[in-house]
Amino acid sequence: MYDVGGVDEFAYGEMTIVAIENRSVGVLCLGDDEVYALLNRCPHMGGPLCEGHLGPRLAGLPGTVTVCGDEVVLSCPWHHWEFSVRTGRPLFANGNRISVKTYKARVEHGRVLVDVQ
Amino acid sequence: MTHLVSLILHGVFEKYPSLRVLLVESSTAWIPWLLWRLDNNFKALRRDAPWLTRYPSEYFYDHVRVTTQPLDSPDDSEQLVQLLSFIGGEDILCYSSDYPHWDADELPSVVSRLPKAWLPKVLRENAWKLFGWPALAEGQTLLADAPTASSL
Repeated sequence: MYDVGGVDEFAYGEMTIVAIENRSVGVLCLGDDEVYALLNRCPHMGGPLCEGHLGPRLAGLPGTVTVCGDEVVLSCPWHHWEFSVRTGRPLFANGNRISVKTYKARVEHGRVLVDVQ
Repeated sequence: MTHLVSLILHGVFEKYPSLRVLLVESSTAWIPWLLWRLDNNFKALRRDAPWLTRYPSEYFYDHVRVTTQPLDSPDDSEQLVQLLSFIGGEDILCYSSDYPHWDADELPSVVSRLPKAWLPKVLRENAWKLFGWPALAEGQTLLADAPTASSL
């Protein structure tokens, strides 16, 4: 596990990009005990995924749009492909064939820890 | 093409999952390109049609069939067959003549340009399923002189 900083250094709801073993990793804290980490590389064309837009998932019945606030979606700044921050899976397709790499992360004694193994 | 894009992206098949559509007199060669483009752009523009739960092309395959006329006519008809194979033409196409228009496709002209293995479905079975007609008994034909795959 890599210590990437104190939890108070991470603004809740904002992606922070850190370097771990030559990897660029996005870390997202949603609370003192809820943190996610994923590779800052879009599986589409290698864009800096974690520099993209964070927001809720949009769903709904035809003609209506529902904001699903319990799901955090990251869209790549290059081509806007959307991925679930929690699972790394794309929103546009079933299966995980083109998922973004995610890493285990947790907060321990006020420190944010990321496992890139 | 516009109607097909609208039906799929506006979620008509999500709202009416039993709806089936037959595109008539619209030609066919544009369909592979359109489905490729729709699926590819959906990855970037899903937020504009968030009610879709599958790739756009999947709605096409489940809900839409297409009549043959006017069957596109490259000098080498095999090129058309290859193109239509990309979208499973054997299961998508339904024969139509467009008679009595000037550019009608008479049956022999269509039969000669499609693989023989496709003909039972294109000439009969695809439309039969689309309209939900009862199954024919083995060997039963609608008309005494109806062409069969073996006679074409």
